[in-house]
Amino acid sequence: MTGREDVARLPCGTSVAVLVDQVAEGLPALDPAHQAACPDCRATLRELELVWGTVREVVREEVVPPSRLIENVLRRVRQELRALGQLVPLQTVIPRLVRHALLGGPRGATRIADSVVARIVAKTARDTPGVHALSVRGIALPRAGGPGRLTPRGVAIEVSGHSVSVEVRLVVAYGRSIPDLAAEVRRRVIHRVEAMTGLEPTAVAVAVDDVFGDPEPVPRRVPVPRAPERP
Amino acid sequence: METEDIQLVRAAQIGDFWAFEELVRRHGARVYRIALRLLGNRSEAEDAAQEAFVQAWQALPVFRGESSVSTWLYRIVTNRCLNLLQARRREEPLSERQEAPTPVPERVAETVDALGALKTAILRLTPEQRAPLVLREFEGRAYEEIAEILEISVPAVKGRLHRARLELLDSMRQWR
Repeated sequence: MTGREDVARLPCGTSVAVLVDQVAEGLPALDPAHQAACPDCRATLRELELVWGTVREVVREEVVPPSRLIENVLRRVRQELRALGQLVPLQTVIPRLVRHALLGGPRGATRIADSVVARIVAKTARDTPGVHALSVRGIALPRAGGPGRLTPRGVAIEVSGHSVSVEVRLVVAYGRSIPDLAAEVRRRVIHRVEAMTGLEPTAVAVAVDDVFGDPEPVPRRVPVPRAPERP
Repeated sequence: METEDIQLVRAAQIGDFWAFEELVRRHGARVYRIALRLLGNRSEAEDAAQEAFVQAWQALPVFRGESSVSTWLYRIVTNRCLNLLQARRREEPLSERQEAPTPVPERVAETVDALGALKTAILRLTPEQRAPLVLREFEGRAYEEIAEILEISVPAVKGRLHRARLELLDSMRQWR
């Protein structure tokens, strides 16, 4: 570090640091007339151009992440989702971006947070016969909502003025007609949201991610009858 | 891009796993690239990038949109790498530490090609100098954003970047 001060200025008095910035950042010369004439400055600039030419070459080198990186990340997060059950970090009560639906009125507006709508949707969907649970990417979520749950997962809400669009993800019981069940969930959600909030549900998208209670035996696990043992 | 990022974070915050997946796909390469430049080792970079995303997922509820999503991710991965480098430094014996801030296979002067020499020179910078250099030269971030990522002031960013660049110049002079 002590030698640094010695190299910091050229014999002509120009600060090396200024020249470094000029080349590295591609800035215009502070003193073009001097730089054009001064052999010290020109030599240093040439040297810097050379070094930063190499820097730019390294920068241009393509870095390809290992193909498994993304899959590994998602697997880790899914593992945590399963392991933590309803204690997943997403459900802790912490500030988040809350959007409000707005109902105008002559004596003041009413604002309803999207999380309120989400809770109504979650409960209504869960209580519909034939619905096993809400889901996040096919993972059935525990039914009971513990204290401190701000927004239910498995539900996405987009509010805009007094209209609201909803997406709900489900795991359904095996055996029912899925289109009928989806229509029933949609009907109940629209009715409930309208009744409780006065907002207008413009769309209720229902995604069925999985079925529960599949009676089909898992292949290869079928017990093979064994020949009676010989005495 | 940025508006979409915010929308994805919002969706992920209310439990949409798909939205988080999309964030990982969008930013995976970048996060890995920074880790690789900071750590200089592919498998360590892969681990660091992976852990950074898991940490981001855990931190989703506290992301308030005060900084952009990419700044937020940069901050998480950079901090992770800096902590790793610090731990690495602590593990080394004192005598070695004074010679080389990080374990680097070859000395700058011993590498044959200019590219290799420069990469080695970058890895021989202190982590405090390397981080701003990587964010500026490789990622092209603005001073203000680098300050936000490293949680230091803009003049401090400029100072460290400056020293890092002079240090590189020095190393490359020695190499030639």
